[in-house]
Amino acid sequence: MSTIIRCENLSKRYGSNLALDNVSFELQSGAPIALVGPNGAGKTTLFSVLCGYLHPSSGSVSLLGHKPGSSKLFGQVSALPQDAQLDPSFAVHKQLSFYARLQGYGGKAANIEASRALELMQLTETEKSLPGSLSHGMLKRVAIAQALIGKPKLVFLDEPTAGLDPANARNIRQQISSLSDTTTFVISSHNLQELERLCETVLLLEHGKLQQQTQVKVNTKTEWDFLTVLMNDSQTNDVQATLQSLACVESIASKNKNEYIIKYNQQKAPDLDQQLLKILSEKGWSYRQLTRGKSLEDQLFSS
Amino acid sequence: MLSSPVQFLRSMWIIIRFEFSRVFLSARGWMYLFTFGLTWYFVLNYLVLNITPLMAQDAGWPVPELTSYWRVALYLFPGLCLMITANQTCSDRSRGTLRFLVLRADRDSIFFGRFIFQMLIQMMLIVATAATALIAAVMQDGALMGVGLGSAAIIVTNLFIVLIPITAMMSLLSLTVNSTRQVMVLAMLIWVLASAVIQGVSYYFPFFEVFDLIIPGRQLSELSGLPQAETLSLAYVPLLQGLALLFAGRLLMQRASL
Repeated sequence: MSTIIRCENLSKRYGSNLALDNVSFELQSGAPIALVGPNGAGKTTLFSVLCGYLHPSSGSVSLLGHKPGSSKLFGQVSALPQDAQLDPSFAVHKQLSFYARLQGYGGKAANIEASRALELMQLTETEKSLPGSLSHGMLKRVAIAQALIGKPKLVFLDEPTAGLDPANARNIRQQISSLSDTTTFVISSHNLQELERLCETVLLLEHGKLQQQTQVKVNTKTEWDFLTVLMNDSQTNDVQATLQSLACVESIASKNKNEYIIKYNQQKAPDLDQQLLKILSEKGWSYRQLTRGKSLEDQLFSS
Repeated sequence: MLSSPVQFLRSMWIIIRFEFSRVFLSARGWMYLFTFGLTWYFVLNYLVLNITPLMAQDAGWPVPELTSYWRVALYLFPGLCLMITANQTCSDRSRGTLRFLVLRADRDSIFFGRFIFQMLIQMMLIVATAATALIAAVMQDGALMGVGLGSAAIIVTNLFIVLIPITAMMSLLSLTVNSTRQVMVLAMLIWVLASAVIQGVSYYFPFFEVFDLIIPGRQLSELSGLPQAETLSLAYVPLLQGLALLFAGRLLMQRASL
């Protein structure tokens, strides 16, 4: 693992509006990284600064040790920018092949690489299509395909699955997973469940400030851990009381109907999940989901 | 990893080739060329060759057909330049396409690549149209071939130099607004307003007239009155204007938000 992005005291101002306010963080290469936050939090501005589309008002940024926009990053860093569209005059394959050439591929190799990227997004049949003849979802997939040309070390994806049908969204998640051994993805999305599955590190931006940089993965070294259990409907009312009676359970919160977040001492009861399953079985209660830790939503937004 | 200057030149070459394919490998590009060819046919037949007899007396110009071509082309191409070179980066910038490009090519190679492409395509049009005027002259008098070739070369060089600052101005303006039409309107406004301001101020402060030379194309009226042998004597004006405008455009491109 090595430092792939470093931001120090980064600010970006649009007139009187401070879109990024003194943001500092350091990210390591490896598993996908999530960037979350409400609309207007500064996510796209941060992406734009990282990609070199915007110059910061103050502070410094480096990607793989170079300033954004540096020619040293060509072919190493790519992105799915928000709302960027392809040139309507050329077929999608021709444009991707052009991008591959700029990344250093020769003529034939560029054509092959463009086809490979489109194939990853299951878009082989659209190679000769003009962008104007494709649907919104297909255009987004073509734009993701352009981000996957070559072997980039770092890929920024701004809302990669927004507006896509479930099957294609799933394919994109699968591609991200399969490529994440060699490529570090930074993904901005409002779909927390998706991010939870894909990412290990999460950055939370609010009002242009970095509020949290947290790890999604379960930390077995901490004293307290959480189990989140989602029960089927029509369970008896004494679920919460029964769960509370388990040894080493500190507290139980029920934010949504049938969903319980159990806080427990994992060092004293490392096998609480197994105890819980045993009780559910004994009581004849059926559950839909049992998750180790809190959901990303609860981690980020519960007080 | 390629070194930066090599990478810059390579990227620029790929961009220029891609832009050429926009003209020569698309139906729309051929339609534009066909329309231009048809329009030029009428301009040549009904304007250039019509005024040729009037040019026969011009001692400073040896081939009358090329003389009339020069007088027409000197104003036609700058006007045409405003139309065909307006969309160098504005559409790509407003559409976001430049965001795909700047991840793979530095801003200089995009800016200069597009500019050079515009100059090359205009050069092709100038050479092609000058060739038609030369052919018309040779058809009248075969002996004019030798002197006509020399004359055409000087005219083509002059026209090319004249278009450098105008194209560079369009490169710069294309970075400031979001559509081709806006670029053209802005260029016209700058021409008209800047000329008016300079003329107005010069009325009270005559030394201010020297600023007239900063406006691309302002040397055209003087240029059209010069004998052929002296036409390149004014080349320094558009060349300096071109350099200044390209420098300003490059700076703007480097700082632009995409």
